[in-house]
Amino acid sequence: MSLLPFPSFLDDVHEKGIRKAIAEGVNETVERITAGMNIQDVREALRGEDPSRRPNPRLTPHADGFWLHMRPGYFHKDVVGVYPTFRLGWLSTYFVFFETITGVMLMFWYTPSPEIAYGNMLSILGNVPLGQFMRDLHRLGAEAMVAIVALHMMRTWITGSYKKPRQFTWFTGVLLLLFTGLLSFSGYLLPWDQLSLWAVTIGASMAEASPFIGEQANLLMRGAPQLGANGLLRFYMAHVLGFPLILFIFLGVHYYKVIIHGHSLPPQKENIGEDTAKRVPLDKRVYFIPDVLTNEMLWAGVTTFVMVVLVIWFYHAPLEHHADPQKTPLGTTAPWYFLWIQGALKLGDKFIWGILFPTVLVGGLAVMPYIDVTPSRRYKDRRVMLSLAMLLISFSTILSYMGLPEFAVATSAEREIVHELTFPPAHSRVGIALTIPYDQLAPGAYTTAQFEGDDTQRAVAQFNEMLGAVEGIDAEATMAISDDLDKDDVQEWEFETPLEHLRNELISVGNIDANRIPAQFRVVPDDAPVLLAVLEELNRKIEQNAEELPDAWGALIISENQDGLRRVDLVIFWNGVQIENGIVQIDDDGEIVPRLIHLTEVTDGDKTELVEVELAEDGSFMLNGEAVAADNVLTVREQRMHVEHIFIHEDSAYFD
Amino acid sequence: MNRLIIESIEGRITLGITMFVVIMILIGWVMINEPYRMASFEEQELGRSTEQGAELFAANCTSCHGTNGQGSGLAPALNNPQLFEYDFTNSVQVRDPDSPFFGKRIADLQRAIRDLYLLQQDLIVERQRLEGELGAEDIDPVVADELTFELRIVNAQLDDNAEIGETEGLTEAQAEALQTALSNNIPLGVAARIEVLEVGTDQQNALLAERDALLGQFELAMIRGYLPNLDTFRDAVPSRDEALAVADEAERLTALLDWIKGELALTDYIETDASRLQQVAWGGDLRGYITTTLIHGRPGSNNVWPGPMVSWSQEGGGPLRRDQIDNIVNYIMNWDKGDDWTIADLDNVQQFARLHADAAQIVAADNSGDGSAALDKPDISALPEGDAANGEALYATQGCTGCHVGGLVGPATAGTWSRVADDRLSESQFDGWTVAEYVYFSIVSPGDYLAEGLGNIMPATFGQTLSDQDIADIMAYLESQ
Repeated sequence: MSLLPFPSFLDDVHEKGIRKAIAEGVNETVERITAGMNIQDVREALRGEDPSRRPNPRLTPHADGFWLHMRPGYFHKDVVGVYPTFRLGWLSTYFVFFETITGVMLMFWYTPSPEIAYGNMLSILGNVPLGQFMRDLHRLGAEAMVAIVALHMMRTWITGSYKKPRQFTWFTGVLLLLFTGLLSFSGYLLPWDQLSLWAVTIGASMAEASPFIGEQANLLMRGAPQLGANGLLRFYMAHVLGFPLILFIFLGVHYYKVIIHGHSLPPQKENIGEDTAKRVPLDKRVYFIPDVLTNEMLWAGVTTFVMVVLVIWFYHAPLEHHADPQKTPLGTTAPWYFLWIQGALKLGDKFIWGILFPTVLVGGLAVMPYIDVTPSRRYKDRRVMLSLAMLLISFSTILSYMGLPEFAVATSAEREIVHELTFPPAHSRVGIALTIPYDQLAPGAYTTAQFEGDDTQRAVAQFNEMLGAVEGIDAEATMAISDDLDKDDVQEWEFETPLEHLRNELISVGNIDANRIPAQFRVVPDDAPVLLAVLEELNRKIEQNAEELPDAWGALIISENQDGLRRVDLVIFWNGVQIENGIVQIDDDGEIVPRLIHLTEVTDGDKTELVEVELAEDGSFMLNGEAVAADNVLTVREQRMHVEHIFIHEDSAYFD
Repeated sequence: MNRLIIESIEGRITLGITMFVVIMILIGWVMINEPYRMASFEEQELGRSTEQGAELFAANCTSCHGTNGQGSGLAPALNNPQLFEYDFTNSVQVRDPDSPFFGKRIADLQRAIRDLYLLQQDLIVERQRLEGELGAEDIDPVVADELTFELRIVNAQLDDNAEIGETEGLTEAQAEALQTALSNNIPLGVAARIEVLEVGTDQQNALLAERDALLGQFELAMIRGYLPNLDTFRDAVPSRDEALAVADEAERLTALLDWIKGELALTDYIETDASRLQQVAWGGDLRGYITTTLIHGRPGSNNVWPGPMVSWSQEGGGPLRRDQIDNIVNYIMNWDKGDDWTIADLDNVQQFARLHADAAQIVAADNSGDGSAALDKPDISALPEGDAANGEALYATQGCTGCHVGGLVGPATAGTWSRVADDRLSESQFDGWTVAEYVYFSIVSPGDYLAEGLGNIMPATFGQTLSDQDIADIMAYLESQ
């Protein structure tokens, strides 16, 4: 007879006593939660003992439970070690979930609008506790995932695991690789900084090269001819919804196929043409519970630990300045995993190398198992395919190198030098001029001439004297007088000294306060070692480019702007040389061809001024279509100047 | 290689648990450091934003506001104590630590005296009323008693009557009410307190003299321009000695009140004008004022600044993004020197275009141009082919978009080509010119010819600062508009 109108726990207590009733209740609950293992079974499993009852209760969770129904109950003992899988498939899956979790966290703090996306980034970094930590994890995880998925593919290729019956598994795997890349790429744009805008612009510009549909494809992807509000929203939707959805679907298919066919054994462990992965003899079985399960928990712990350590001490996700479609930064690159396409683009036609080549490559990869149908998975029988794998690795490495801005991108030396000294923080690197501590930025003008000879004081004094003494520089471009000219002739015209020219340039183009330009160069003070190092670096780079920048000198001009804000103007002066397509022109005698400027006097009313005349092909001089007598022409060597400036605030702390 | 890395299950469990515990500890450690990290990030970010603001300011704002933000004939100074509400008269205060008015400013003293005078006036009226009622013939003795008591309190407040605490002759209830009144801090002894303040008269006079001397110092920069009526204002203030000379008590009080109100108005007037925000009666804070002005621009004024400021933000149709506006605001706010402003700072800046003590410093916008000069048609045959895309970028970075929008300050960008063809070239002095020649001419020598209604405010330096290629690019861009 029941105590309550229905059978209940109280009846058990009444019947068996409270201790026994509770013990049985707990036991039953555990068995329900684990879908088949009671406390005793769990205890045995965790102690590494064999199961004490039959049928094996450790298989029931796989048969009856939801969470383990996709995991096999046991593995072949030859596939649970490091070789042959290197855990790369497992790691890829780990990162899918890792990225999902960290990504969802970040979604709470992000709005996909160009107006505030960048502001959101600043607030994630400056206002959200653990915001930087989450962002770093997500970004590092994304980069790691691309690398790991690619390595997973190479491993499968090398061990020949794509062969029958796993062709379709490989096919879905290639799709997963593709979508991993696309996910990472679409996420690149979201911070809306210069790095993301331009990397994605380069990547997306390839769509434009598609035949017939190029314009439409581009518009579909970017939402407008240029990336803007619509483009960002589209990339965001693709990143958080579209691509993950596809990825999860194919991840399901991929893993389902892996389980259906079993993990392929190391090639030498089975006979050619046989696939014994599904027939695991009793003595070769490693059961999921407890061995593989504890192993995977361990891996999850270790991998997470490594990620955490990396983002705390070694890696911070880059964030550059706010995206600005009107300012193309020097040396823009696609993300590293797409560098190979950028490199291929330098080989020629945008369509062939930007669209056709990657499509053929990925397509070829996808159908590879249907083409390579040789049965043997043994390494010695697969020389062609293994060589192909090595070739793929070599070529993608070379193409990636070619994708770097160092390769075949002609930027004039002076711009390159200044850029290298002043570029804003990107990928944990920053132009060294920005790293000068504020208290070392002593206002004044410093010149690379100070490195000439041993006595810096004297070198700078001589330099000041020399600059003041040169009287001959002119009109539109600054020009030095070529040696064979009689200097007296030249002095009839009014020339600017280089210093005056610099002064005027700083005032008219640089908008600097005229009172703040130092009158003379001086030696770098002793207590400013970093400033000195930057000046040395400027000098070194100028000397490295001596061919393009002959007789050059550089200068740093530091001036006060506000309390706590100083301005550094970087200046390079050099004698112009003929450069075509980034190559310095050399004449028949092996001499560098200088850039010459031809001037003549033009009198207009009372004003006499110097005007540049054109040198026609036949050696005569022309001015507005009229010939000018050679006697009236003064030929001077062009002296050129390049000036750029940066501001440094005392709190900016670029040196950290 | 084909074995689990850690063979024993205990090892795996131990290492796995250790890993998770260590991860928790590490995250906890990061969490503890977060407030400091975030604070230093904010500081660093403000610095970097200021740097970018400096860049934007140099490119877009200096042509009107001056290279160092000290203003020009076109626009007021921003590197300016007046913008940052720095009141130089702040320093005029009682410096004697033994004085009961230590740290008080002249206006505080005067307000205190004014309040006492006003109270005294009220009390005198009250006394007269009570005395009048008591003097009535058929007064109820009980009421008379009450009135006497009230009069006693009023007298006590007016004269600091020593008998105030005495309860003799009062009913028990009255004695209690008196105690309550006393303990409630009813102001007592107005006369006595005025006396105390009058003791401070010497100090007041010293402060007034000091303030006047100070005002004299920045008269050049401020008073004749911003405070053009100060002298008349000052003349209207009645003299204190005259007020004291009045024999009748009530009238003397009124005269004294007039004097003190006059002095106070003078002080208030100067304090208000020391701050631009108060001058324009701005309801928000300084950052909001600068941001709003940058976003939406501001109208020209008939009195001080003839030219309007265009809206610089994309929200207002201008060229800059909102984050760039914030960068510029951070840069401008960085000019604030707090308490370190000097009168020299005030002297160095251009406060106004039209009104200034020193006529030589007026570089007011010259709206006349000299449109009468014979115009030389420029030779543009040597100009290279232009690239409209680069032109658009230049148009923004050179600050053109700031003014060339809407057509009020500079001709609107849209429709430049057709407008020139239809309107400008029909004028006789441009006979035989092409649109390209006109546009080139307008970029290189903008002041030589001014279309009707436009001021001569475009920098004339583009001919020097831009290369032929740049100008050709900009022209190509304009042609596409």
